[in-house]
Amino acid sequence: MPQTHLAEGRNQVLTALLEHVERADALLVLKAPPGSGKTFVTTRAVALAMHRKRRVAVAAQTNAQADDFCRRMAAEFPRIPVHRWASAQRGALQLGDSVTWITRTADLPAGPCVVVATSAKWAVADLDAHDPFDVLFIDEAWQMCWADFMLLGTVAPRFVLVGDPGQIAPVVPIDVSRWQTSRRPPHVPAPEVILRDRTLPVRVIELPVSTRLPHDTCAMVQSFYDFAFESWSAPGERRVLLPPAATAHPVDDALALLTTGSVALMTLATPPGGPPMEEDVALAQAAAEVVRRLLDRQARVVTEDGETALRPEDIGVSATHRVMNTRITDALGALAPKVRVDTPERWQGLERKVMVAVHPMSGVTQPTPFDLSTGRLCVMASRHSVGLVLVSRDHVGDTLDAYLPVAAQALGQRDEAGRGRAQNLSLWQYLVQHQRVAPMTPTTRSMDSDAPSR
Amino acid sequence: MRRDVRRRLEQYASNPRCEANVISAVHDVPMEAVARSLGFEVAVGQSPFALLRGQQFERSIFRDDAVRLRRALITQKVLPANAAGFVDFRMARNDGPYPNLDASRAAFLQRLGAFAKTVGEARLQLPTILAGPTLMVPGKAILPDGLFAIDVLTVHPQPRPAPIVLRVGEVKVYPDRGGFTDAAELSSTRAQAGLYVHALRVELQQSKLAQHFAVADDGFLVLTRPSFNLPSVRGAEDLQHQAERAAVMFDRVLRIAERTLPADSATDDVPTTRRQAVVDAPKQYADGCLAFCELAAHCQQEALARGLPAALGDDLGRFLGPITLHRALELLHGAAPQHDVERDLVARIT
Amino acid sequence: MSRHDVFERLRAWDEGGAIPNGHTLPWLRATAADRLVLAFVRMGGESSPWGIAIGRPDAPPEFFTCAEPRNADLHAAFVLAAADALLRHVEHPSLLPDDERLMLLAMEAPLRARVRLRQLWVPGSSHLDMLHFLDFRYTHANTGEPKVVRRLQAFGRACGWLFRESTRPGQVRVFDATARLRRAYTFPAEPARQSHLGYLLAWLVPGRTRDERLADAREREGLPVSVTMSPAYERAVLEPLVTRYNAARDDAPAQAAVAREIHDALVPELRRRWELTAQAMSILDADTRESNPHLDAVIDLGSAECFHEYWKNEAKGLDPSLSDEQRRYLVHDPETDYAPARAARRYFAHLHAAELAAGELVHGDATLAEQSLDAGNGFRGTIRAVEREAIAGKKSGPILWTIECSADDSLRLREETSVCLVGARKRIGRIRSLVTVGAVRTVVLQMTDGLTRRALPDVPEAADVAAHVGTTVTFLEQAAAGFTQMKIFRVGHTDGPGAWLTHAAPLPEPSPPVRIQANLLELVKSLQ
Repeated sequence: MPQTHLAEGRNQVLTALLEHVERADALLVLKAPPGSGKTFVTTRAVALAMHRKRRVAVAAQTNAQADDFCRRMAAEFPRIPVHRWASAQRGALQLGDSVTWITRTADLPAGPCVVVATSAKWAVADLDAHDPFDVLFIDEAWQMCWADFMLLGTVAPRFVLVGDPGQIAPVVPIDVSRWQTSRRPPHVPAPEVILRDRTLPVRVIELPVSTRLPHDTCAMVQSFYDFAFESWSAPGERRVLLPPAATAHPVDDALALLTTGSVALMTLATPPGGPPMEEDVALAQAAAEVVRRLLDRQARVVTEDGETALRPEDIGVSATHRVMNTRITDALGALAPKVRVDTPERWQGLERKVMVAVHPMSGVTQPTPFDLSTGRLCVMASRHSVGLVLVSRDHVGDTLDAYLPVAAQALGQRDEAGRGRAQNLSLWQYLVQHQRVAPMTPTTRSMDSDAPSR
Repeated sequence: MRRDVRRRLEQYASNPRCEANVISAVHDVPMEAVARSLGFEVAVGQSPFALLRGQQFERSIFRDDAVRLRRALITQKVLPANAAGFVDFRMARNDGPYPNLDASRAAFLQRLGAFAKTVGEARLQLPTILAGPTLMVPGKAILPDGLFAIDVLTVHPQPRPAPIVLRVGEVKVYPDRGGFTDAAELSSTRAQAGLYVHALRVELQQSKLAQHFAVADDGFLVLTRPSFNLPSVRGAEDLQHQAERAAVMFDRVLRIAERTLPADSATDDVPTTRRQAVVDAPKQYADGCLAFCELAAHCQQEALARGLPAALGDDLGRFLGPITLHRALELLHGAAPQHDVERDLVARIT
Repeated sequence: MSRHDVFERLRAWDEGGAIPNGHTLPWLRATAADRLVLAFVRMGGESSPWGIAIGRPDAPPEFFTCAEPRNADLHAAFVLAAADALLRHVEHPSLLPDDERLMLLAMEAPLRARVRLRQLWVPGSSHLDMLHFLDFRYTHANTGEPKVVRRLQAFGRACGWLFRESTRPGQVRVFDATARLRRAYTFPAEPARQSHLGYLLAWLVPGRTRDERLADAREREGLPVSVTMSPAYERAVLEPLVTRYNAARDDAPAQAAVAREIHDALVPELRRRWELTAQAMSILDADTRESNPHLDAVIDLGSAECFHEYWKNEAKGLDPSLSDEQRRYLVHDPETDYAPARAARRYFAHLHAAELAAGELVHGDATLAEQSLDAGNGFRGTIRAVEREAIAGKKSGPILWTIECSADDSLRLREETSVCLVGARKRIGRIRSLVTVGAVRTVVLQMTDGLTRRALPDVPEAADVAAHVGTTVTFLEQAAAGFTQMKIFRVGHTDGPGAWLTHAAPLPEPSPPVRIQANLLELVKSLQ
């Protein structure tokens, strides 16, 4: 049975958000763990604001996210007209009967309205000829740096920032030493800047339930967050079902773990000379084998909604290095067009019933702060609604254990290397302690079998 | 002398994969002596001007009841606006009242005991700055008792039953340049501060004072304003994981210390025997060795002679894996790969 | 470490010396008149200089030293003596007649032309840091005779601007000789060793074996090139001199004599650092590679930065009618940009500079283009089809190119990304689709810009089937340089309704209390 008693907690948060909108308060930050229904609550808040005859602006980080938001509004609130304000270069999309596609600033509606656009669009918009908007909702706010957020000061006086603090921070491609000790560092995610400033009148609320993540996955990824949340599903409610196998296969031990819990760690032996860096062909093949074997064994998935067959479209694969994703795609062969394989950056906002992920630290024997940053691992570990198979070389636990982190961060900043090591180690140890680890049993010949030792 | 344990711990941490380094650090065989015994010239010593500056700066911030330091700590909100009181545990050679570290430690523990007993107003008016308090982490096996003199502690009392919070500060003479402050210096400073956080917790535990005090996970740095002798304080320095690191290091080093070296007999020239153990131990040269090890140049030469790719950088070492430089060049010139790892490398570099 | 880096470092080791990196150099060779070489030494533990060597590369440098750098007055006098050479190099407005200064301030272009190719060369990063220290020390100097104080402040600000400029991506104004050598060549050495200028130069000596160069490099490594001198030298030579100097404070002639000895002891240290820098510059000048032909926009941006971020403020600051408050606003703090809008503006300016440099230079250097492809920022393939898309009701639709590439690489780009043609970068297309089947990836581009000979006179028109089908083309992601540049100006808008949050404007009045409806959840449900 789903943990329906948790609905009350979620409703309380939703009520708090609606009251904030009702009172027309200035600033709210909503922390939303993966699959917690942030779009669900945001669409309701937008609908209420529009009902109160406000001018509502919604900023998404990508066109796909903006389109998606409009589709959700059209599906759930068909009587509320929504304007999708897009670039003239994009062809108009049909997002729903209640959604009007506009490309010119002059076409922005007057009076109460809901206008959805990318934050880039809002940033360069010349809104002087229009009445100001009353409130600006910013979706995936942790993916937006402070400097970009400042550009949205021309849109509205009230802000609601919604997002997942565990996800991957925006890439900073330049040296930012000059601004590390600024009062409002321009490169830092906007909600972080707001939360650090104790003088701001900000209300912070946190969604307490993930409807996407299975029960034990929630427990596993908790260490990535500074607030508690639970899974909507009861322990064991979601699982993979596997009919008995006619023959043995190297990945079967790992798959068997998915029938008793939502996460399995399948390890490959680390060659004596050390693991391959970046491009680990054997590991890529192993990841593809997991996908293939699940389908060959005609796996089924069980959720609160019942039991269904697992199809290729229900499976996703993620690796941090593009070259690994290419190898995995090669190894998937004919399955490749149906199984999405991508980096964690591209997986943000998406989900599948079953995910296969290459552990970001597999192959890393001397971690750097970048390797230890947990955003990518958090994303990879939170895309699945039923099962996750992490594949990795088996050195990772030892590497993390042996590593003595160096705190070289700028003055006054958090020790991300130390924190990353602790969180990565915590996740690995969780899997070990809960017996979620299964070595991939060797085949007759592997890529590593001929490797000379040092 | 007594700060040796700290130095040795950091030496160990700088390259724990190098057996020679580990033996040198854990068994207290100075690498400088090893290098000299092999005939290498070793440049030692700090700048006399830098040493003097460091001493003068420390003295200046604690002078007159630490007025300068207190002002800076209050401005940076490490201490509240009404913070007062200063207790000096430094040794005489640093302008303090104590002849040695043991005396400083005894006085510090006694004072902590007195703090623990205070109640009401008296508790809230405890002195807020303690200079140079000394504490001990008991040794084991060949690791001696570690006596550590913390640069400065701030005291943050709260009404009972809440514990009195102690916050560790490090005083350094390198300049605060904001985001441009030297990262290597900062990491070394934080490692030190984390060690003191851990050591203070151990001391409080063994002195049965732990229930009265809490050591904060965040500390503060006292640097210099660039080109001036004024203190620049930075609070809210995250030391949690550095303290954990220190605990792990202690544990590891103690375990390593329990391993025996070649048994020293009464007739052995112990220093020579131990030096030889370092010379004979396997080395693992890494990029960072140049910054701290007197044998680095020798090890790099050896690594190059053996064709170890790490001699040209850790990154190259990781990329080539078990393949030597010699072999990598052969493959580059068209030699046929002999196994999968070589085939993999050829595919990656061509 | 990329595949390319590994291969090159191995190759350098194989060849026994440094090997060129890239087909071009990403900077111009300037004349001696436009160049200044600067080196420092400092007293151990201090962050201000003890000695300065400064001069054009075609003449011996001037040496300035301070007998006791811990004496503030002596230090100020020493710095003042050295200041003019630097201030002349940056065309400081105080050195110009009033009418010329006002003209340059009003017209901008002539000043930008003057400073366009000005280059400051230093041995390595610690010398750049010294500029930062001088900024801290003298930008807010306030003790002494007003004229002297103003000169010291101007010097501090000049150092500060040069330091900040050195951190701006793609800049070609401030040259860290060590970094430039590393950019221009791959060295057969671990990164930690590559921060020593002398060590690097040993690998560039022609006509030697690897072992000879290695031995030379190790020997040169023993002589410091950073601003820090060897502790042994300080102990043995300088400390006794300084002690004698301070002891002779009541005997001016004796003190002056010791000051000369200190100067004579510091000059060889300064000279070595200065000469190694000049040597690095000569080696780079003598390199047979051309400068990247697409440097113009990068250099123009540098001139604009010089004018707007430095010179204009200096010129305005000389206006005697300015209040202290107005004058303060013209000065950049040495540590950071405290005002959020300024911080954001400069952040975007640096982002824009990085995008511009990457976007421009990649079209002038085949190595950069390959590296960009390797990083997944583009694709190379064969044009299989050129056609116009049929759109109902329109006479002619957009031009579509269909390109087949290998799917063996790892492409970072996706649909909707804009890409430009290498070799004709005004020709731009937007990715309509990316389909991978087996080892082949098919990219369909909608060509959007640079379609005709008007835009690209030397290139066949985009719709020309015969000219294009069957040819190999390389496309790289088009940098969004224009968009980031727009942000630089827009982020300064402080009057938007949300400025109380975004620009730390005064907080708005709180909303009047509203009676909250009892059941908002039900209300929202009813809206569905």
